[in-house]
Amino acid sequence: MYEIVEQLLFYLAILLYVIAWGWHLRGWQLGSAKQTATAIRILWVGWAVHVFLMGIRWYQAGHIPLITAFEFVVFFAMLVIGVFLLFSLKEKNRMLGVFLLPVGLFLMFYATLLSRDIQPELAIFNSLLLKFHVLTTLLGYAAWSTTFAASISFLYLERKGKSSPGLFDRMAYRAAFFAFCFLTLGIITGALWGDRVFGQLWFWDPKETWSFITWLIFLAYLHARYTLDWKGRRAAILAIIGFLAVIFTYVGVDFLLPQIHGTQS
Amino acid sequence: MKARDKLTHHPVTAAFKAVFSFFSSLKTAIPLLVITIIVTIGISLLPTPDLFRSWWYLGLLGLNGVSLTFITIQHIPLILRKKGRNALIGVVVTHLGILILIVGAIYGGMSGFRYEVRVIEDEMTIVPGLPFVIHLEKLEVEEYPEGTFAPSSQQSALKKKQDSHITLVKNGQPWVSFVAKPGAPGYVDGITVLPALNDIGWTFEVIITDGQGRQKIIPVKPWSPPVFNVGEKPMMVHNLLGEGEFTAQLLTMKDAEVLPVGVITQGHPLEMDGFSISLGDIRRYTSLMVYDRPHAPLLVTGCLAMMLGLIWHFYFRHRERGRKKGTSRGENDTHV
Ligand code: HEM
Repeated sequence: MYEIVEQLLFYLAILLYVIAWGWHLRGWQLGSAKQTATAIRILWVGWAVHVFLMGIRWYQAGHIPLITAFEFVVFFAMLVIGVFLLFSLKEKNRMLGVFLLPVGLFLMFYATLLSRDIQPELAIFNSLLLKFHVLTTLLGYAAWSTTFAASISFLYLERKGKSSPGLFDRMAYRAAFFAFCFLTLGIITGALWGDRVFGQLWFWDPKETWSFITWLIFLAYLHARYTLDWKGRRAAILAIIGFLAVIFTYVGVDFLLPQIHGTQS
Repeated sequence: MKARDKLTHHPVTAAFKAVFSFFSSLKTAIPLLVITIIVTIGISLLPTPDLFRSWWYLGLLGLNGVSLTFITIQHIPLILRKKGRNALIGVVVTHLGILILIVGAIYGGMSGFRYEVRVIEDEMTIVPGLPFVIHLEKLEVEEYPEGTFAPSSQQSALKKKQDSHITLVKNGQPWVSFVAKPGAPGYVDGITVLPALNDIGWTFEVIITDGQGRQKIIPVKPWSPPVFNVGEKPMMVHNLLGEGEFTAQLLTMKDAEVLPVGVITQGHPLEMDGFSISLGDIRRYTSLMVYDRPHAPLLVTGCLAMMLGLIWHFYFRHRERGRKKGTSRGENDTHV
């Protein structure tokens, strides 16, 4: 019963997101603020379904649904869409959705490939530190997704010679700072958790190494902006590289070597 | 004046100046960071992460630390003039934090100790070099219900509960007692005692009784199974199987080949060539990691400073920007 409800909610959320994105794109092409507003209303409904889905899963599993790969990805998508909804409260930011929503959609589609089985929570996973680790890391990645989408928005506007791409340039920078702080916290808490379970802070397993590489790239981005005064196009390209690193750390590494990391699935 | 001139032209001073100006340049720092990223990616593609622990990789991180230090020092007047005191505090604290972290990581590579020992329930274990004897009083284990995991999965070896009740004995007297398990180690005097997640099982005895009722007791530790004789035949037993009723597979060796001989079941001795082979005392064992990390305070301080610096930096940058945008108050008054 639960499984069917869950499945329905999951696909309903995806459907609403697809419609919202399509509508949003159309509104943007037509330059219609009204149509964009409708798209965002649809998106809110989709997000409510999404949040409800996580709630049901939480209730059914008896623990925060941050254990299986499916749960990670769906949670990540929820954060990404949530961040956009937050930004969209200001009308001038709304173009961000054109590029940020596909990130959320990509994650949802990726989630359809993963097993939706609920797993019992292993004793070693039952730890506040670990929850904090997952949450901060995902927040960091969601914030960087914003940096990425804002950078693409910037590049687009710049190419079209439109006005005020600077708004998105600054947005990218600010989001990057958040992303960096959250990823820093995520790495520290992850190391502390690993230390208590495996007796070592850092193993250099592929996931750890790649989150470190991602962190270095974020660092390079912030410093290039702050010290070299990189702006606009050059910074945007670094932001895209950073995003590729996020995706690789998040998805790609799982197909590499065996690792201690890994979700429970 | 003269003496000072002499000093500035002293070769050591000159060399230091050259090193300082080399490492305090962004033209050095940026390639260094890029090299670090590329090298890290390169090593991550290798099958083992050993190179990350090599002296030259740690050295590379160290060089980043040097460059970060010199640059920060070099930039102090500039930041103060252009961005104000609060910006300076943020940048200095963050960078100091990361520097402490790098120093801690390098120092950690050279200090401390780490032992891995197997301890057996109800036995005392002496570890040469440790100032205490480890007494595993009890090992409470609970398995996950059958079918929780796919049998072949890595997790199938995990336990729902694996509590090691440990007493450390010093000078013949019980000293401290605690319960340690993966995720919740015991801490004593700066030393950590942590049971390993997967090295846990049973030790046992094999009792061989001959026709005259003479007994030979062979203790079996699965991590180094002994070879013993039954009559003339060399035999081996690796480990216990089953829960509730234990069994052990008896093996013999013939021309470097290992052949099964029979199964010893608890309470049902195996009769063979006039010998009776049975299972004796059965006890749990677990492996423990015992380590100290004198660099831990450095790592903690470094992380805290780094996070505090970041928050400070963020807070004041926004406050300053808010001021510039909002009321046009004096831009230079950056009181804390
Ligand atoms: C590889 C070593 C590093 C070097 C060479 C370096 C160098 C610099 C320099 C030159 C500045 C500009 C200061 C100024 O003139 O205003 C700066 C700013 C800053 N650095 Fe670093 N840094 C390094 C690593 C780090 C790390 C690891 C962190 C954080 C964990 C960090 C955090 C910051 C922050 C927050 C700022 C202010 C930048 C902003 O607002 O975007 N730095 N760094």
